[in-house]
Amino acid sequence: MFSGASRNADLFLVVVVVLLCGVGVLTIFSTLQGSEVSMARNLHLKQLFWFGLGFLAMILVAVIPYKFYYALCPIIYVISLLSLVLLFWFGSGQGGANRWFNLGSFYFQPAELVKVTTIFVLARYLSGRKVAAGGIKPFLPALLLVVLPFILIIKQPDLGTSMVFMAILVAMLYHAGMKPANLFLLLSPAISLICAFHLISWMIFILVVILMLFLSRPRFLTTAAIFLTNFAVGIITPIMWRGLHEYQQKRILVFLDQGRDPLGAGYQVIQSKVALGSGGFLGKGFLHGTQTKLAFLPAQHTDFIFSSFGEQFGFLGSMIILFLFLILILRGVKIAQMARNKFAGLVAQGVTAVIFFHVFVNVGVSLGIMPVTGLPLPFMSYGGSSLITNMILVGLLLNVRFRWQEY
Amino acid sequence: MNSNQGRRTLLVIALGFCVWSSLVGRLFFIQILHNREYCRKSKVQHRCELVLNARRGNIYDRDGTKLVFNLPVKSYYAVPQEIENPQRLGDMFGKFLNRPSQSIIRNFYKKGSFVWLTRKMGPVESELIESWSIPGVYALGEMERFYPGRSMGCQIIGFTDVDNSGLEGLELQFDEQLCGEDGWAVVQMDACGRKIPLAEYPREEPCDGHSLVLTIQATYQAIAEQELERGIQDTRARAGCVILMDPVTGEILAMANEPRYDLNHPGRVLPEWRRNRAITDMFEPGSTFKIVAAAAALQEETQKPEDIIYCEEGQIEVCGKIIHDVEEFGWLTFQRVIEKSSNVGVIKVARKLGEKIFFDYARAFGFGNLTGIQLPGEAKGLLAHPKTWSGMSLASMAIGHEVAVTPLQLVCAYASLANGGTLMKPLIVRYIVDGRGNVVRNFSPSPVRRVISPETAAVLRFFLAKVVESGTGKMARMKGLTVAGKTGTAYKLKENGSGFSSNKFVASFCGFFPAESPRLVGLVILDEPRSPHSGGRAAAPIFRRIAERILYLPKGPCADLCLMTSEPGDTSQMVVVPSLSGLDSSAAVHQLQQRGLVAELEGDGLRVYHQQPQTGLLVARGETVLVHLGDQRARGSEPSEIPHVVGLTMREAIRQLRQKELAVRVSGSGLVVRQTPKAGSSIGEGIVCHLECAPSGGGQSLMAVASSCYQGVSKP
Repeated sequence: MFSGASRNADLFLVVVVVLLCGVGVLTIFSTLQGSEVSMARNLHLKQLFWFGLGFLAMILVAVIPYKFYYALCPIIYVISLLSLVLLFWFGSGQGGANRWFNLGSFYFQPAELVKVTTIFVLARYLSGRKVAAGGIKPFLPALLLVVLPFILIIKQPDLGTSMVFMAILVAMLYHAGMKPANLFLLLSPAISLICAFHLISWMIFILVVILMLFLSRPRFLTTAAIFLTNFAVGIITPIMWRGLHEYQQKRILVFLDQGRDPLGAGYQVIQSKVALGSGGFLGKGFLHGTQTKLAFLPAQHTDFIFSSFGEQFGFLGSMIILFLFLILILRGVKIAQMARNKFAGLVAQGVTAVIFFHVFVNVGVSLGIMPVTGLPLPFMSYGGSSLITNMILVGLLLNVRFRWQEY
Repeated sequence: MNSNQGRRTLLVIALGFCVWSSLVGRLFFIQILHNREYCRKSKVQHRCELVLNARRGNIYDRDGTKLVFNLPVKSYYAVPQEIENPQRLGDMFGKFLNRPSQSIIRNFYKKGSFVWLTRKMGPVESELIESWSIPGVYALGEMERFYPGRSMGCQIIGFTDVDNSGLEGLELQFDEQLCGEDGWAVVQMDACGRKIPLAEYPREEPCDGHSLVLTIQATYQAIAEQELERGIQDTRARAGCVILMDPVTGEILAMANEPRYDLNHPGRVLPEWRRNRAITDMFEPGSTFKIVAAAAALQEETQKPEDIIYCEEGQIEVCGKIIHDVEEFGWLTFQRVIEKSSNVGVIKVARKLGEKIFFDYARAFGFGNLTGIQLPGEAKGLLAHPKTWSGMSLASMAIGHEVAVTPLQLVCAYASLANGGTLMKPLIVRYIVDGRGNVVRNFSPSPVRRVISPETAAVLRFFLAKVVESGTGKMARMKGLTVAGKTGTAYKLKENGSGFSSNKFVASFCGFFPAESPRLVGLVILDEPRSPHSGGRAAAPIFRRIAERILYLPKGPCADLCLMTSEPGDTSQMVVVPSLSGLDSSAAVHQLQQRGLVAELEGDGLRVYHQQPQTGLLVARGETVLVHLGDQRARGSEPSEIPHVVGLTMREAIRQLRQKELAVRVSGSGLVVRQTPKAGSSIGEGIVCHLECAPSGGGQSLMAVASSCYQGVSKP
């Protein structure tokens, strides 16, 4: 049994994760060199502590059989949703967002936990026999499971994190066997929402939806529902727009026109690109990143840690990081695919989707191809909740991999 | 089912890889393809480098008098985004600058966050502008060049533009050394363009510019300029220039040009006025050039000083043209030929030399070549090669036509006669010193070549002394001092180049004194003097007046020359005030009476401690000298030590001892070689310092060098 266990324990995955965390701690250390706040100078040690804690959590999560999670997940899902609700009264945060519980010496971000619990319930629901058949209608409850935390988090407001749930949904629905066309139709209201800001592109999109409906031929009621939802979203969105927080509007606008607000989010993106771009092929060397050291990079130890790393270690270093993440994600996909248990496979797929979405959005923001969303880079960005959650996610991957043969 | 599952996984992987590749592509785009652009941005846009201006160096005269220095001024600019009321701002500054307010307001609507309002305001204007306290208007501390002498030495010193880079003269020539190296500081610039300097940012302190120490003597320069101006008024000349030079070292002591302009306001001046005529303008020198033929003849021994030459009763035919003398001379000695400035005689001397030798000497004296002075825009002059000469050329050139020289070349040639035959490279910048006064670069006197032997030079000095004593240069004569020199009156070429003008002249006088061992060479040139127009009558008096004033200055290279002239028994109407300090009243009165001066005693002490006018000044016979008698103790001066004065010039020694209110007695002249009582002994009542002076001081100063140079030169 032990020989089997060691064969099934994915040490390679652990090495990749530890490497990423190590690089993260070093980069956090480098970003603190120019900091004027001496209090903040030991953040890298704190991160190291979180890593230790996260590592233990990872092992714990990996060791507990996933059947246990299968049994418990509805309860913890409800608890985690309640914690999100409690945030409205007891939360603290900055910039108009109540995202954390202040637990004395550290902050706890419940949204991170909700990611895990949502993956569980979704996996549990989708692994049920009745939904395995396909079609759109059985997936509507799944949508509800995701939309609940999505709405609670978007109300915080945290657009970036709420979008993570969409990624989870898409990935897991797909894994559960939904046809791409149906998936598209299911998600079409969301795309319609984005297109609604531009009349012509929205009209083109509606035409595409009609075409898809025509080709895939769902039942009449479904067709009508999808079409009407798309149409309604397109019309309501401009009205909703005024309901959004100013900084959210700003972020979206800045993404569309980066010269609009040089002091705000656009400034961050410009600084990030300058830091990365000035790094060149080999980078400026560890602790020699001028943009980082002189604190031109905003949030350089959290959201823009990739830029700071890229400035110091150049294209070569950035590529190594991206390769590590690629390995991690491919590993996740493989684990999801090889898992014989449907619940386990869905969990692995959801976990992989979360990590992938975070990496893509965070690096995309640093590279200026995504709107500034405030998503951390998994394993590298400073932050206890995020790191521990990611370690737990990896623990789940290890767990599934460990028991892949089980049905 | 299974293969379907595999396809679906493959699709996921392919999709994921595509997304991942887009990140890599973008990364490559930013970090590799646009690396240079972002590097520039990281330096320029966000790490804004603020220039820390280096302080431009000063310019000093040879005694350390500041000729140019920097004044802190303020420049005002506006940040258009912060202006609340452009109309008011425009009106205020429009009225202040005497400009239509619209022309100011218009600038506020141009792109950019920086508009100059007015630059380089002095303290009074600054106070006014700041009293308005208009939002959006900021001051920037700058430095402005200030020329305390206003127009003094304007063409030499030159000026700078508003950004303090040199445009003319020494400011241009030594711009690199003067301007120093600007420093920089990295400041963080936020999106509003505000600069936030932080201590931890890199910073390079500016390296201040070096200062120049000139060979110019400010007082000499001023005197030269005043006297030139006066001479130009008297003769109604168009322009003129004066150069004073130390013949031994080649140091230029003064270089005056008229007309002048105020360096603090150079913009309003005609370019013509800015020209340093002394080096940029060429002219036909006329008779002053005759020394070339004379020097060559003496050096080559084709003529002896006592040879007699027939001057053809005032006219000589050269290639079918008749050249006249002013007077009709018959037989003259060589010396008299020069004294009377006989064209015929000099032409005959030159003919005997031959073209080649004459040309070689003209070149050797530096004509037709740059002198290499440290000033911009020097002209070479024109000295044609014998190959291109016509039949007239030798004769014309011998008497100073068909050649064009700059005033500086001429004065250098005369300096070589004065110093015993060596052509010196003219110097105007003596030292370049850094901010702490350390000499960075030392331009020491450098001989160019030996032109003639010391003996020949001595004979020529004798010739030139005779010119002043009884020839054309009589107007340059001074009492008590032998002056040597040569006059020149050249017809100017007509504007259209067709021969010579009949009423336009260039009058010049070039001379030096004392003739035996010259200490100063001077050249005076007047452009188109109307009346009188000749070098002897127009230029020579200017030379004399300059020399007279220089001689009796308490400081300067010629300071001790006056003592040579102060021998009792001087027969002129002017006498030099003797030194009375330390004498008792009867001795003082006796000294004054001997010189025909009236003594007026004041005070009730035993000895003279002060006199008015001071020692060395030239006063008219019969003048009253106020003699203060007193007692050092009575004046409450604390007992102090006698200063060390050995090695100083006599003047300087006397000045230092006078400061301590010590009575001084002097024997000999030149540098102090011994002093009694010794330096350091305490000053007691009635002590008289005896200074023993000798002409040579063992190379301790330039003067000492100079005087030792003359030792070997035999008198004619």
